[in-house]
Amino acid sequence: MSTDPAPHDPQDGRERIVVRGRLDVVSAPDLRRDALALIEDGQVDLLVDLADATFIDSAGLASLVHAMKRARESGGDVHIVRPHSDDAYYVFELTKFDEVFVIRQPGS
Amino acid sequence: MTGRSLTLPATLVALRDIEGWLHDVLDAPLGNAATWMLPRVELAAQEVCVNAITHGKLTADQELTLDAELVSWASEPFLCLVIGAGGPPFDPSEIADPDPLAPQVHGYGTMIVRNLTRRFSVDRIGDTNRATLEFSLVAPTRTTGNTSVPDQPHPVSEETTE
Repeated sequence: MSTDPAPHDPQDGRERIVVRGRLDVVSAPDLRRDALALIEDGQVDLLVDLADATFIDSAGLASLVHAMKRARESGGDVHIVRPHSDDAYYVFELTKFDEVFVIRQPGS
Repeated sequence: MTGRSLTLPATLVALRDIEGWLHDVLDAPLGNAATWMLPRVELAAQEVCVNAITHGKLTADQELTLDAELVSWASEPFLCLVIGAGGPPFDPSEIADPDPLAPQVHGYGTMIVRNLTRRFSVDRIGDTNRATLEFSLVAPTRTTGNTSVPDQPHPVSEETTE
């Protein structure tokens, strides 16, 4: 996984984290750390851009859910940009988290 | 039947070798089905191996073994993946799926494997857990490309299960 700083989403001003490649048990701690650091810094509305994520496992999903929970506790939320890859997105459907997260289409 | 094996050190980083191995072993025998099957097989294998390493507290000097077979003699051909790992006994039938109305941070690995396979079981052989995952060769139907905006986000609990 690689993340890019892209400070603010032009649509609604959310702090954006861009994830590329694999969001798995190896890389998930990096996303969790980055997201929680932003939330601790008061940026409680985040947009995690998964458009270029190629693989997501339950550990990757857990990092997103943990960040969402922390953000909601702080009065914010974590929104998701859907992966281009249907295979990468499939884990959201399998676990029903496609009904929990606010999910945007890539490029929207 | 065709069959191939992979042995990995019991580390999380080593699991990234599974993707390439699956393609090497199964691209040709699966033909067109490889395109949609292999990402699902990889995800299921990943979840089983991560559970084995983390819950079994395995260390890098221990090994995971993966054996893939395309079983074509049965009335309904299927892909069989067998994953062997040490650690304490594990029975997935004792693990309940998380409540979809009470989303939680952890506990989705076994649920994912169940949903990706037509059969998932673990046998204890000596001091090894031998997980058997069977995958149908028939493509599932699914919806894709929808934007999902829940009317009211579900609360998330910290409850953890396997």
